Amino acid sequence: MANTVHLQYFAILREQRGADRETLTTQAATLRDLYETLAREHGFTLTTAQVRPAVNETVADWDRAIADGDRIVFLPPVAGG
Amino acid sequence: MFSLQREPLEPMTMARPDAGGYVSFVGRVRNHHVGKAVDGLDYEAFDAMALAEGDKVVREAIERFGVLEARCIHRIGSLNVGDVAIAIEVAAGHRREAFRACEFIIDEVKRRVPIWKRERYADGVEEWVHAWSAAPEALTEEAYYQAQTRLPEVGLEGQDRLRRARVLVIGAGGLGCPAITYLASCGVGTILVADHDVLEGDNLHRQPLFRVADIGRMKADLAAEAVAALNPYVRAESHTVRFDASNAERLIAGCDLVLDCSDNLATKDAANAACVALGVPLVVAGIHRMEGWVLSVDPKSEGGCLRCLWPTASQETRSCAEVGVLGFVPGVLGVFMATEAIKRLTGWGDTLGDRLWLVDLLRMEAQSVQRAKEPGCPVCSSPASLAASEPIALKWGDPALAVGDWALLDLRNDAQFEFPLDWPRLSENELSQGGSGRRVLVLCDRGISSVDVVLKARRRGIHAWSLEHGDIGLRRALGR
Repeated sequence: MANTVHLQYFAILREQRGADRETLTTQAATLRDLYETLAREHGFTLTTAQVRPAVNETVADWDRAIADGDRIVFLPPVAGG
Repeated sequence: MFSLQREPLEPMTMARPDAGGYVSFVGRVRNHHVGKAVDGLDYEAFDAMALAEGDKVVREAIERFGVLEARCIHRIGSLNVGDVAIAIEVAAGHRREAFRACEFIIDEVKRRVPIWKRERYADGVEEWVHAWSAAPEALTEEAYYQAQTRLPEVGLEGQDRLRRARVLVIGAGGLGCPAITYLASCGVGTILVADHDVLEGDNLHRQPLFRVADIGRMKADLAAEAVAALNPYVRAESHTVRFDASNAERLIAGCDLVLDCSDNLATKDAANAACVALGVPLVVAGIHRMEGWVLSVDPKSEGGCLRCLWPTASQETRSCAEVGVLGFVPGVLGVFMATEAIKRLTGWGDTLGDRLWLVDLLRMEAQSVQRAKEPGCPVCSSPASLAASEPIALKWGDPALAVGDWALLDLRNDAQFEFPLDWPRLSENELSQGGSGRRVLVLCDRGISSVDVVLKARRRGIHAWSLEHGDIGLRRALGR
């Protein structure tokens, strides 16, 4: 089943994606499936073990099922200071 | 506890059976002041207020550092060069808290107790000098803060809460400079700065607490000096060390809050683990080019810790110098950290709570994301879920042994010498009943049977480790 989701990228993911946000229609069942698809497509260097997803303003698990209209944010750890 | 004395002072000598560490400080009249030769001086006190405030200082030192006894006597009247002007003595269980309490008393007495001195210069001139503050006479503590104490939410009571606070800032860099500046100017009474680096020229664009002339000096020292120059009513301590598990407890002990302003995830992880173990709230932030994040780790909340958010966070990330950063980006985030810290210390308004705050200064957007405790987090989850990856045995000297409260289960059959740390001792029976909530180190003859005990204890949710190679390993490490 295809769901339309709104994606937002931070920091290094934004740079590797070349955009800070996008809306797309995906067949992916879970956040993990979606991230791995995007990672292959755009050459993300960070794995799901390093990045934390959030859905609808709440930190989420990679195994969370994707629902239509989800607002998804991928949060890489950044440490500069 | 605090007294004034007109007769000559002699150093005191405390002695009591329950105290192992004694520190005494003696201040004498010196023969010069700001380049002028001094013959002697007269101390004059506003007696009632001096006694009340002095007593308060000594009581605060006893309470804050957990020492057994402390006394301070200040001379008044006419003194000559070399005479004792002030004597302080502290008795404590151990030396460390005695040193800290003694330093606290002398600093606070000079700052808060209304005692003036009239110096008699060798050229015959006499001059009144405020003995208890480096501030110009018109700039009283009240005047310094009047614009913020005017706010009904702050008032004198809120200002007093800030004055009594003790905060550790890890890293005096891009985030640390603005954070330290506002903690100090708003009146956080004691600020500890831990930083092991020297100032370099390419730091200045994002660390405007420093000056070109400071290049090459330790940043912790520079930050402490800058605080002293900015606000005579707070004190800063410089700690020129890299914060890690080996010094975490020493630095954090007695603090009300920690700000991690470091530039790497390994340090942030160490600060996170230590703050969770010691139950001290942590405010932590990170930046990347034009973006940044801030969160608070509150051991009392359900929001979890930094490890809950990024389980493998200690991976390599690049520093600001490598990635590139505009100077004001850590500035914005550092001021935000100070805001969060001051609000947590005083209870004004709402704090970040369990949210992760994200800011994008390129697009001028901010948003927050709700965080939650990860059930399996190796740092902050309940004892029932110590991570499967946690090692069973620790070597003697492992930094983990320096963090948190430990107890010892000694299973050696033929112990030739006493275990060298004064941890509480547990029996096997006490361990099976839950182990008193402390981390437990199990010591046996060869480090073999202790592993079974540890595995069994962990299945019951107890945080236990075996000492690698047991008594043999310990004796080898200690050279016995």
